[in-house]
Amino acid sequence: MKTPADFTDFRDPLTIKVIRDTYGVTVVALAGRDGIKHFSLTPETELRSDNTLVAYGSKNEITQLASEKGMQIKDDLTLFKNEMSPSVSGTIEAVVAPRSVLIGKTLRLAHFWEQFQVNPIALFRSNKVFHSGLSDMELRSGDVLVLHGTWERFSILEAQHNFIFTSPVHEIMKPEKALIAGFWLTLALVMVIGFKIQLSVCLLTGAFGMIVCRVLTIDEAYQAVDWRTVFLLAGLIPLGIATEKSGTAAWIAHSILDIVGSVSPVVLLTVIAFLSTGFTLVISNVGATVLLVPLVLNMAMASGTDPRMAALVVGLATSNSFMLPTHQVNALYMGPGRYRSVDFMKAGSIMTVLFIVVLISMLSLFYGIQG
Amino acid sequence: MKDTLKILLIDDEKMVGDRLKPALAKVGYSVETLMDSRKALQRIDENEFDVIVTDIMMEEVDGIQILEAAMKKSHRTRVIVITGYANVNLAREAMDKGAFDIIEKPFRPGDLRNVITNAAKALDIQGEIGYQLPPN
Amino acid sequence: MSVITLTTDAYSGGNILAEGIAEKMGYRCIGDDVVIAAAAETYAIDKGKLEQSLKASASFFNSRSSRKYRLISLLEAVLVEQMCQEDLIYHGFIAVSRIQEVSHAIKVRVIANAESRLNEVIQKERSSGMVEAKDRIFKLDKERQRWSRAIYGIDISDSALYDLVVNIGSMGNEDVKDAIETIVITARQKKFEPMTYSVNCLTNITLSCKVKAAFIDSYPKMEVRSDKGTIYMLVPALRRKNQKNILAFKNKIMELEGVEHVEIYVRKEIFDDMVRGN
Repeated sequence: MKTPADFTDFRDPLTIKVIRDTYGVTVVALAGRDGIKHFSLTPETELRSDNTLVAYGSKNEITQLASEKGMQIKDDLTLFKNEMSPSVSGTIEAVVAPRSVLIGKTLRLAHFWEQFQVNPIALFRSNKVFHSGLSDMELRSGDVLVLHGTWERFSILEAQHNFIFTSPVHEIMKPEKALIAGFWLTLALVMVIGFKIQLSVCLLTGAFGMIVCRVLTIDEAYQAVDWRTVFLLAGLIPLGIATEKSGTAAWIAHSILDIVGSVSPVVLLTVIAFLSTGFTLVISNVGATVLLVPLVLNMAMASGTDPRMAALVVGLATSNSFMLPTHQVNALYMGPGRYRSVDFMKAGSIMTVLFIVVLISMLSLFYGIQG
Repeated sequence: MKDTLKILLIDDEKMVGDRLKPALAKVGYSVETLMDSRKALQRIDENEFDVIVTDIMMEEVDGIQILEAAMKKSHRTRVIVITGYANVNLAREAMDKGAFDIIEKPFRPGDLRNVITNAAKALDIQGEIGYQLPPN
Repeated sequence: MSVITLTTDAYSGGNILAEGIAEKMGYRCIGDDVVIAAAAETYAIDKGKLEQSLKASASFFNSRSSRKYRLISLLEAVLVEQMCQEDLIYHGFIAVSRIQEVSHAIKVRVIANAESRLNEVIQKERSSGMVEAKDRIFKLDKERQRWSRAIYGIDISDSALYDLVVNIGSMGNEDVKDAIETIVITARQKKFEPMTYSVNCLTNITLSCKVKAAFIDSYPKMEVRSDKGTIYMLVPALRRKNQKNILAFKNKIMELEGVEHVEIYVRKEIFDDMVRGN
């Protein structure tokens, strides 16, 4: 947008804060008459004559601002074309980390613009979105700020641990590829579900299709492969097969049953649930599942319980990973959130028990296990 | 009883009146705007204003003539001259002829509000009815 | 606030006049010595160097350094700032051309007749005879003219620069009294009262001078204009610098008191257009 030459004449100063509070529009970049560009704009920054600016806001809001103040909306970015290109800058959602230095301070007091050099556009808190008055709101842990800035800046912020970014900072979004990606995914799933083709063939077909259609490059695909998972499975699948073939699984099953004694199916399933939970905390959920399924099948058959129930319990209970940060999701935010294992155990123990209770009850309800 | 200040704003440029009127009205002044300087002369004759804000460069009747007419009508009226062509001689001439103040265009409403506040104070000192000053 | 500048030639009784006017009007009276002292303190410069800058010595024209311009900028900055702060009468010739547009600054030129000046020289310098006295006055007058032409491009004795030219004649007591009376009556006229426009003019000049004084060493060819806290600068030397450096420079300028906004231009044509539009 551009301001006319007589913009400031006979008008009270129009600051970025006033624009945000009145119109809900956030100005993220400003160039003066001298052509010098400014990016991190404090709320007190004034809009002057012959200024070019880049602003975020809904179409209505921007149109209203432009018409009321006599500003021109340009068809395309010209002056800021480079700086605003998606590979250089963009918006990102940032969660205020639990031990962030910003907690309890307002953006203004924390000299947010000068220190962090990104522009806040909106704030999410308790299901409400705030567009205005951001500079004077005291930040709380868990607040989500929508920030605009350069990826370079966001990388620096990421390292400072004041924010947790919900999407990778360097990721460049390609929304135009979404449809194509969706198509290949659907195709792969259809092949898996509908046709009796090998799973690996179906999924690789989908992957191949995505690469051919340039949804992602082959290099990006390679980078996305997590070697830890590959090694984990490479180790555990043979282990699973080995325990089965060698009879170890059967032996363990019988041993546990001997200890437990003859029990009703519900109790057995609960025991299996706890066992799965325990295993998943130390090995990954995939590993635990691979290991336990042969085991519990044997146990179930030996005690007369439906083995499919037992397998189902294992499949679900290995997701019951709340007590320790061994699950990828827990690990993801443990770092930036500076959580310790103690934090997980405190919050996770109740969750774990609740999980198992709900699991067993639901199974009884839906499948009618003879208790 | 406190009265509101009666202001007459004369400028042939539409934007001036459009932008200044609300900016002055919002602090409680009663503002009348005119673009035709001849009509303004008539108005001054009909009515006594507390403050007259006038442009200099206008067709038919210029600001100096307005100033002189206002001074003739009443010595109470404070005339504030606004002009985009301010220079030493013009400024001195206006002051000589009785202007209260001269402001160079373009300016911010805040600048004008300050001068009007001074004018109101000056009127007050002369023992007139106390004027409602804006809550600045 | 109210300003009277009194420009006299050497040995023309300027000091007595200035003090007399100051007393009558209740103004503060300052001369170049006060300005030099203030500048020396504010900018931590040797007084001697500042005094030298006011003299059109032979080396003055040989050295094309920006040093003398810088020193004079410092003096100007200090002087106009004092003019903003209180009612004063300034006896001297610094900044007279800078404040031409300030309608409430009354620029007075005082001339005395040649005979009285000669007598004054002889009295003050004791040793001089008539010839030496004549020589001395001639040299000083010439020097003053050369200086003002070199620095301001004007002839300091040109009466067009002044609002009032007073002939103090023989500089006797009566003459001095009359001259003071004339000046005071003139100064009290309504048209010389400060008004928003003229006060803004002076404030703008003050800010421009301050900014110039602060940075002229780094960028001798800079031009500065200001308008109500906004600074417009022409700094051709920045043409080759990148945005980051220019932004850093801008921030430095913003640190000065009274500066609210800065626009920096590197091309003269654009700068001139911009300034003209203002």
